[in-house]
Amino acid sequence: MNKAEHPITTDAARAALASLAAASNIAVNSMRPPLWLILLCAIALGIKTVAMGVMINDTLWTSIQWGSYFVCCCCIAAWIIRLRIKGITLKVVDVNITRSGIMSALLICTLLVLSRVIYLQTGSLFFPCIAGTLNTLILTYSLHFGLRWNVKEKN
Amino acid sequence: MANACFDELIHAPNRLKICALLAPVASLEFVTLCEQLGVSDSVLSKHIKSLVDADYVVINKKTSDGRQRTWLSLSSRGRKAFAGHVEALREIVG
Repeated sequence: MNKAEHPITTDAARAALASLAAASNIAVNSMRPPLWLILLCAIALGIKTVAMGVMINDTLWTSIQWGSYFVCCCCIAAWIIRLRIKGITLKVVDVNITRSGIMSALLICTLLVLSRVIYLQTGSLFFPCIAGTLNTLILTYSLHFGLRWNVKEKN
Repeated sequence: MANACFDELIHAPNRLKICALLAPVASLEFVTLCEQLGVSDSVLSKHIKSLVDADYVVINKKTSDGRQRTWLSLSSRGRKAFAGHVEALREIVG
């Protein structure tokens, strides 16, 4: 489309893009999970990371690992049901498939694996605890600001 | 990236916002869309009708707990047209 073919002025196009950005912000704010749910899910993931690292031959840690996994799943289900009640159905397929979403997911998985590998090599609880704390922080940040990243990346 | 294609139907302010609100979700309830747009039922119905006539929006009526809920979603044609329109706006802005 060359400049002569433009059906509207540059200012009108800029105003339309600004109204789109405002509408996207409304959409993001309505979809974002509440902070208590984000914290519950992130803490459960942190506990799961620690438990996954140290659960070898330990029934208690294995139970804690599965318990925190169950809490994570319940948090996600609660978020989806809450949105459904509010009149919003999420696109499950591409809800968070952006560069930053993939990076966060990879980082969380890497810390989960490292927590176990390093505990097996050193026998120290220190690294699983650090990995658990990092995963809690990463998930809190991703869930709280992740949808906003998506909008910025798409705009 | 979508092909830039200016769409007069989508460009109307409220219809542009409707598409922007429907784009990131699978579907949105009619009442929720009214609240987010800050318009009355009748105004929204009018805009939705023109988008439905162009095959850009799909209406799905479901009954739950004895009350009917109207769900709206962008069709694949609508998503393509909206992406193309946004791309055209970006091209104009430069």
